[in-house]
Amino acid sequence: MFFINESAAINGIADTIMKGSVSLYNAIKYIYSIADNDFYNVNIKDAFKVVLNNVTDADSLQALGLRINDKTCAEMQNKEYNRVLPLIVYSFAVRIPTLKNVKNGDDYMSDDQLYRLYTAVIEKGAENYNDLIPETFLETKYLVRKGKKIPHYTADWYKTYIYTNVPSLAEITNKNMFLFGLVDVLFAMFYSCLEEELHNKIIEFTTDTPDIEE
Amino acid sequence: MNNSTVKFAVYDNNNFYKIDLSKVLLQFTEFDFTYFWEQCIEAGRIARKDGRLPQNIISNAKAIISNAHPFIEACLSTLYSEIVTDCIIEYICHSERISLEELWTRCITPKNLYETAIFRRISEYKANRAINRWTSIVKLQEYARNKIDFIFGTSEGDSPLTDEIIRTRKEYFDLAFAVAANELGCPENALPAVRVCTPATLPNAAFAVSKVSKAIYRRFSDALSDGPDMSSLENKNCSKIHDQIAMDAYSFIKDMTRPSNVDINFALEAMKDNPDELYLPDSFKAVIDLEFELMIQRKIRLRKCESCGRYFTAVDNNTRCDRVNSSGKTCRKQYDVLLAGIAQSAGMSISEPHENVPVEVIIPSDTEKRCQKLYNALYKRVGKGIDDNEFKEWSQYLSNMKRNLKIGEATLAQLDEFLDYSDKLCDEVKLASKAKIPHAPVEKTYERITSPSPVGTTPVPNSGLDISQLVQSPAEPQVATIVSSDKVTVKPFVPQAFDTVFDAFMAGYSDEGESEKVAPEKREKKHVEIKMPQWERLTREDAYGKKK
Repeated sequence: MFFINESAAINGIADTIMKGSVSLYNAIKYIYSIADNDFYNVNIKDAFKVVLNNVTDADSLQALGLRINDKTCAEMQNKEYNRVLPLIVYSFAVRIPTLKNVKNGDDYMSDDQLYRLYTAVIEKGAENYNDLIPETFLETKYLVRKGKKIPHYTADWYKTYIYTNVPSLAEITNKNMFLFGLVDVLFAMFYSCLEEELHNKIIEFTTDTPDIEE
Repeated sequence: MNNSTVKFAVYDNNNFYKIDLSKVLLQFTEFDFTYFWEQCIEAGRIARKDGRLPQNIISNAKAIISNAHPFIEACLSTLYSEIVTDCIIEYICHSERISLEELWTRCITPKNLYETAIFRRISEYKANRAINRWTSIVKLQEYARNKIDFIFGTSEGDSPLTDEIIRTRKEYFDLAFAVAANELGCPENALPAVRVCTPATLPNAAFAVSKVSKAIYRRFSDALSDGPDMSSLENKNCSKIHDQIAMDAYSFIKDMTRPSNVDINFALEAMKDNPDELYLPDSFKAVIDLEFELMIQRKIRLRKCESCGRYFTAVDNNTRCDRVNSSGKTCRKQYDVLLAGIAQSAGMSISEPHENVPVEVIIPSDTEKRCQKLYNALYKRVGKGIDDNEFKEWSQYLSNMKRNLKIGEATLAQLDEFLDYSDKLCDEVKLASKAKIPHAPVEKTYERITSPSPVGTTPVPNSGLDISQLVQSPAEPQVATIVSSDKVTVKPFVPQAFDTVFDAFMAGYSDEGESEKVAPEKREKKHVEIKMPQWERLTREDAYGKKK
């Protein structure tokens, strides 16, 4: 695919994936905090609407009065849980070959461009801890090339990781059950919205000079 | 303590605020929010263009609305900090006919600070962390108006408004609210309430009475630093364990001894201006209800003005308020003037006149010229058709009339009437001067206007007469003798009118008969004998200067 400034485009798209990852990571925490004291004050549907309309900025949820701190998200404020973020980045990175389906006329991203993008994202901080995420970049690339259906983005790896590595969240409590319920819905919907955001970003890089963010 | 004033405090604010009972309520119910509304719309218009809310307009709008009620002023930086945004949100929803949800969705991905502000505010509504304070104020204003009308309103067939009736009406109103809330399932602790405190028993007393608190903290800082962290109770339901929490806290100061005299004097100095009683309302409605309650306790009543229909604080039996209306006068003064006018036209005096309202009358230039012309005409003929004393009396009368006009104690119509009379007098004088005889009397009878007296009194004190009687007495023409008090030296100007020459002739012999016409209650007073003009019997030809 022709970009006006290819390296800038690759970096920009990688940034969007990173921001999306951080946003999902924070969104889980924000929504988890609802179970602390705002269960009857905050409509989770509103929280989902906010997250899905701002896939690169989950801090918009603060408008609903949600906060991430040691009180509301005490169970998530530990080293084990912090590994979830690189896992999320990796889970998105291995799906980068699907961006080949984004077309600007007859133009689309080459394998080389997709690989450079994958490398850039991995370099920014992705990790497949204990090979929790079964998909790989090459596998996805193969499925895309063959036109086969890509598996849905799910929270299975997340739940596996929590059960095996984060005891504070693995415990059966009201809050934790709320968490497992919400991530099932959130992961699938979030990825769908992030895909759309990436498509828009790619088209933006092919047509115009991207805005330099302050 | 002043009976009509109370003080209150609010959460998250260490200051105390004053409520003038009934005045604050009336001020709030009559507050015109138009200017505030206009400022908000202007701020919204600019923000839509610039992407951010103009801070100067916001500050101005907040300053305006803080005048509506002391509670708004007290909570301007807390509950009412986003009042302008609230007003803009309400305006957008109303003018574009969209729901709050629709506006929220529109701003869910905000593109500028303005949209962010709207999105954040509506999110707060949705999460029950705020309400639209603007619409709340408007509803509370209506609530206060309705409550005033319910409690203090009167209509035909109502029982007289005794204190018991007023209290019962108020209790009935509050009870109706309680029944509605109960039936709708409102939790008890969700309804507005007021706590009665002193500055030292306020929840934030440690900050509200900070000087003394610091001194106390210094005494117990060591023990307190070793105490447990009780802040974890903040989000728990502690309604059943208040005593336990209180005693846990008290255990750290239970060995406290009375401080030295120096410390007590320091505390005395620091707290001497604090109020004895302090109210702590948790909402605006609570403040309004508190004011009603205290007004009724302290027997402060509101009354509906019979002129403008608005309520005012009843301090006497007057049924009209002291608000300035479109006429530039207060309803009360306007009514007094009306009464005076009616009395004047009916030729009656007001037995207990209200405060007179001086209404300055500007004499038109034409009338001024007419006065001057008459003055010149009569002045020329002094010693010819009119003698010196008569002229002085006339000119004094004119002068007093003009002065009374300026202070609002006479009307232009009265001056015109006097000038009409003077015209006739002047004609008579002209004729008389030609014939070198005294002028004949004219038809109308006037009495002398004395020097203007202070506003609110009649020109002749203690005489029982008012200005209308002094200026003109059309019903009963004045006679040659009048009754006067000793204090007033009246030398009346008495041009009399006679239908026939015979009448005029007979008038010279009628002193005794006239005295009988004087009111009996005044007969005891000293009569001032008035010298009648020295009439000279003339033929018609002599009078008109013609010879047979």
